[in-house]
Formats: sequence, C-alpha cells, structure tokens
Amino acid sequence: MKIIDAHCHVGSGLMNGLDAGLLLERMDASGVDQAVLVPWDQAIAVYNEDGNRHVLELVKRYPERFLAFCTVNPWYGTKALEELRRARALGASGLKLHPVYQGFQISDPIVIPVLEEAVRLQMPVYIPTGTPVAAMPLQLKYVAGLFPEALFIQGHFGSTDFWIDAVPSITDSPNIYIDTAYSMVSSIEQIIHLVGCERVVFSSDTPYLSLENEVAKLKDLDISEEEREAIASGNILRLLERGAG
Amino acid sequence: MIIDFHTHYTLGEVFVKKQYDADKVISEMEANSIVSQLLLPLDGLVFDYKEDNNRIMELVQTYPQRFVGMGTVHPRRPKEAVEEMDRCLQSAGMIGMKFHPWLQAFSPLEDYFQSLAEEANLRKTLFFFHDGTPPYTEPFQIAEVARANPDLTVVMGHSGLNDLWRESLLAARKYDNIWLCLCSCPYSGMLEIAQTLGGERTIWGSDYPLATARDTRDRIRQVEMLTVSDRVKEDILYHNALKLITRFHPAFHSAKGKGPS
Repeated sequence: MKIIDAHCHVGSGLMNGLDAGLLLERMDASGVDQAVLVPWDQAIAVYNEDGNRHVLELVKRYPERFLAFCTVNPWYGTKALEELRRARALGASGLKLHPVYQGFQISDPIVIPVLEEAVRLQMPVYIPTGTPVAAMPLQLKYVAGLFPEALFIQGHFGSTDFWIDAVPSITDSPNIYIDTAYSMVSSIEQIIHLVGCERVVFSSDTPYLSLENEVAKLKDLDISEEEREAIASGNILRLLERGAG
Repeated sequence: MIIDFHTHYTLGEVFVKKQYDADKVISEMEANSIVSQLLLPLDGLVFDYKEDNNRIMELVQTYPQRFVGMGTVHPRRPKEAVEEMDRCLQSAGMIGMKFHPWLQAFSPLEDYFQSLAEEANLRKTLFFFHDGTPPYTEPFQIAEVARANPDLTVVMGHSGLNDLWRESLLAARKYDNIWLCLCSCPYSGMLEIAQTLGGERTIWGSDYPLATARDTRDRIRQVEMLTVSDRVKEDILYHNALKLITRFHPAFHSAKGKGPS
C-alpha cells in the first residue's frame, strides 16, 4: 500500500522541529513513501520566505519523497500574496495557514485576499481546527462556503473538544477534506460511515505526533482495503490533481 | 500490567449511546492488559448525580480489584454538595470527586466551587478535572484550585489536551499536589511531560468508552513509543496510578495480569 503523509513539519523550530534526514528515516521505518512538508513553527509565524525556501529545496533534492505546502502569514498583506505566488512558481503544491501561530481567526477579513489568490493559483489550503477562538470548524465551514471552488483540508478535525462542530463542518461542505491526525480510530471510522472515505487523507503532523503511531492507526481502521488505500494516498493525490487544475 | 486512570461509567445518554456492561468492560480491559480502572461519572455530570454515584459505588464494591471510583456533585448546591461528597468518600473504593467544569457549567474560580474545594482540602482528598479547553477548564484555572488548597490532590485528566499541555506541565512543576493524566495529549506533549517530570506524578488514562477498546490500545501504544526509559513508562502506565489509588484507598489491590510489572 502506498502511503503519503499529507502533513509533516520540517526544520529547526523554537518549540518543535524535525530534521528532514530524520523524517526520511522515520518514513522508511514506517513504510511511508512520500510526505507533504510544511515549514517549522517560527517559519509559519514570521519567517515565511525562509521556511518556504527550505521545504521547496527539499522537494527539489528528494522529488520522489517530498511534496511541499508553503505558508504565508495573512498579516503581511500584499507581501503575503507575493510570497504565495513566488512559492507556487517554485513548486509548492498547496498553502498551509495556521490561525493560532499566525494570529488571525479563520473568518477574519485579512484571510480573504490570501484565499482568493490560492484559488487563482489553484492551490489547496490546509487549515487546522479545534483551537478556540481562532481555529474553529464552523469558521472554516463559513469560509469554505465563500469559496466553493477552493479545496480545503481541515487539519485535526476539531480535536479535541470541538468534535461535535467538526461533523457539520464537512457534511455540508463538499470542498472540505479532513486528515486523520489527532482523531481516534473510532472517530475516523464514524466520519467515513457518515460522508464516505473520499475526503479523508492520512497525515501524521510529525513531529507533534508520532509518525509510527499514526501509520498504526491507519492500519487499524476497520474499513475495506480499497478505502484504506484511498485514505493512504489516493485521496491526497486526487486532491492535488484537482488543485493543480 | 496497566491501570487506566481515566474511564467513565455510562448510562447511554451523554455522548456514549450504549448502556454500561461490566462483563464486556472487563473483557476489553483484559484484551488491553488493563488490570484496573478508575471509573468516573459521565451522565451524572449532567443529570442525576446521586443516582450515578450510587451506580459507580455499586460497581466498585462488586469488583473491588477491577474498579476504584469517583463521584460528582453540583457545586452550586453547596450544602448538598458537601454532604454528597462525604457520602461518596466514605464508600469503599471511592477515592475522590470528578468535575467537568464546562459540561457542568461552572468556573473552578467561582465562589461556589472554591468553598467546596476548601471542604475537600480539609478532608485531604482528590479532585479529578477535565482540562484543556477554555473557558472553564484551562490548566492555570485548575492550578489555582491546587494553589489555594495544598492538601487537596488535583489531577488534570487530559494534561492540557492538544493546545494547553505546556500550561499543564508548568502548573505541575509549580504545585506538587498536581498530577497529570496522559489522555488525549499529543505525543510531543506526553514526551516533554514524561522527560520533565521524570515519570513522577504522571499517570495514563484512555477516556474509555469515549475511546473504544481499539482507541485505548492506540493510546497505550503512544506511551510505549515514548523515548524514555522502560521504568518511566511502567511508572506512568501502572506504578504511579497504584501509588495514587492506595493513598486514598490503602486496602486496594489491583487484579492480577500479565506484563512487565
């Protein structure tokens, strides 16, 4: 089974980080073929360009193993849009926004121009939810409704205490995918039962979570092998193709 | 051997839509090498807590090696709350009281709750909290209860969850009557807590049956994968919980099981 990890952090952060070489070792040990890289904590918050350069260089160096989502902080305004265009031209497959690290609420007006540009550049957008007051599932649902042509990945699926909100955030929003990190095996199975497996993608959020354990969760899911393969790699590949137009 | 320090008795109404079945629970415990559980209320946090406390007391007395328990009360009924707390604590195998401030709609800093905590402090008992989510279960809010009541043992039932685990660790470093339960706390947070506290005052829990038996296995695996010594892992999964239980229930002996302990 081909496994693509849809969300990993690399680089040396102030509070957390992971060397790309170590990530490759962990991927090999866990049977993960490819990973979508996003920059480290400080690079998400402030040093966007440094972070994007790092992950895009890694993609160039290991094209068979890595893809990259860039990040821009909406508070940089037009500079954020320029950086988004630059990163896209250099090969970024998508955009990661982090409401908590970057200091905005998902439904804030400053996010709109960034999303408009991501839509124009045909880039899917990863946004984690579950942290009040900035990163809430129903804020993402509202924004996804403004941009029906955009594709979103809802990271963390409202974990931990907003699992109730997370369900209606995706049942009415066909353009929101979710990832498996942080959710319990039984919760993932419930959401597959409710909306199907087509919008569920495997991710580990390494190094915040254990890649090895997240892969074990994927293998523990009580679903068909066809569904497991879709979650492991098929869905993210399809999402990236759709994003690329 | 493992002691699960965070499980719930369920009536089948709040969140978990299944009636409690002790035989099934024990069978699933055995499958996961869990010898004993701390049984906390769930439906009683919202509906009739006395009835729920009674059911937990009965289960604990029926299976004294499998379960220890906690009751709950509503702090906005002060006289009744103290009476019910005493009734619970005098029942064999009941080792403290459980609170879920956002579900029970009170702040740990409200005068009602502070009065109850003072009474609990006089009794040198244990309060177990849901923690990790604003507005009423932020670790530093709960730490204020521990600061004001040094003879009260305070367990943070989730070690701050995904977003506030650093705050729970800071609180535990500052007040030595705070214990952290690794339950739905991210791997990196569990690792830093285990390394910083050296395995002291750290226990593990599953949140069963909100976490199913398979989710429980996953959560045990997360502790087993921590890059700390086997001794620290065994302390977190078993010895620390036994130490904490016997502090409040000296006659307790866990059921026997297989495993390194």
